[in-house]
Amino acid sequence: MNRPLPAHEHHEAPRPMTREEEKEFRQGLVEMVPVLRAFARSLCGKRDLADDLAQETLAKALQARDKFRPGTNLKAWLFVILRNEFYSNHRRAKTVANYAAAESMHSESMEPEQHASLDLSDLMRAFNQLPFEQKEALILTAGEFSYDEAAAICGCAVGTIKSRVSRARKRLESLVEGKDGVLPSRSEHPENPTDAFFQFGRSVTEKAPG
Amino acid sequence: MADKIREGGVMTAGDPTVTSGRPGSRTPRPQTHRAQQKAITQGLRKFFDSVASEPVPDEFMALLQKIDGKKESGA
Repeated sequence: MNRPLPAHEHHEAPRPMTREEEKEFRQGLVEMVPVLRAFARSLCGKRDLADDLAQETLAKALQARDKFRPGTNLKAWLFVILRNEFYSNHRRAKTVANYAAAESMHSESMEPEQHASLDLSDLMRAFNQLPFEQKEALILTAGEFSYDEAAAICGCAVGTIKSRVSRARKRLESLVEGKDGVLPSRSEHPENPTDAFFQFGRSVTEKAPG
Repeated sequence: MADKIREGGVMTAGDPTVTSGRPGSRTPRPQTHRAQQKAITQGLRKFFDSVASEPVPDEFMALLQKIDGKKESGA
């Protein structure tokens, strides 16, 4: 669990994995599928988009496997790939705003469930309204990673992660308590996000293993 | 409605001292506040765990196997 993080910019020449390392690496990928799906779902909201993103991540990871240093933190390495994919897809599609607006309304893959005084579906609808970098900061630090690790994954300073988490929590708190505007109602339906965005994952996944 | 919320979000995010839009409740009671923050973290954790504990769709294993069979020559 507490393996060292792969450095963001290490220039050690990649060497091909040994058979044994390769086997371990593939086994590691299989084990990481559940958390990759969860991280992707946190960022995308929608189940099918998130699964496309998680699959692209796996394909990329396999292509780039010689860049992974055995013995370092595979989960962190994969999360870096996942978020790079996510953000580059967004840049390509240029529909972040539309997509975020649409996704903030929907709750189909965010199952409602009671949680103490806090309704989980309210929380997740509020969460969906946050900017992406706040979402990832919250999710990464909610249990999977330390602040330091989260900062390494996002390629930013620890202080940046802390302030994102803190802003995000405040925002969630006021949204959930209804102090600060109203959550989108569950019956409100999003407009269709543009097709450009919905196509983002498929093309890459299809041609990836060439 | 949604526009209003997002606009509000930007303003709030820009000013870290603002925790609430309601007059007279600028500083939440520390205990309530902490409990709420904890509930938020736990709720997010719960969401994450619930997705992570879903059965993995077959496509994932198919993908890993497909690439497995195809990739022998390295990247």
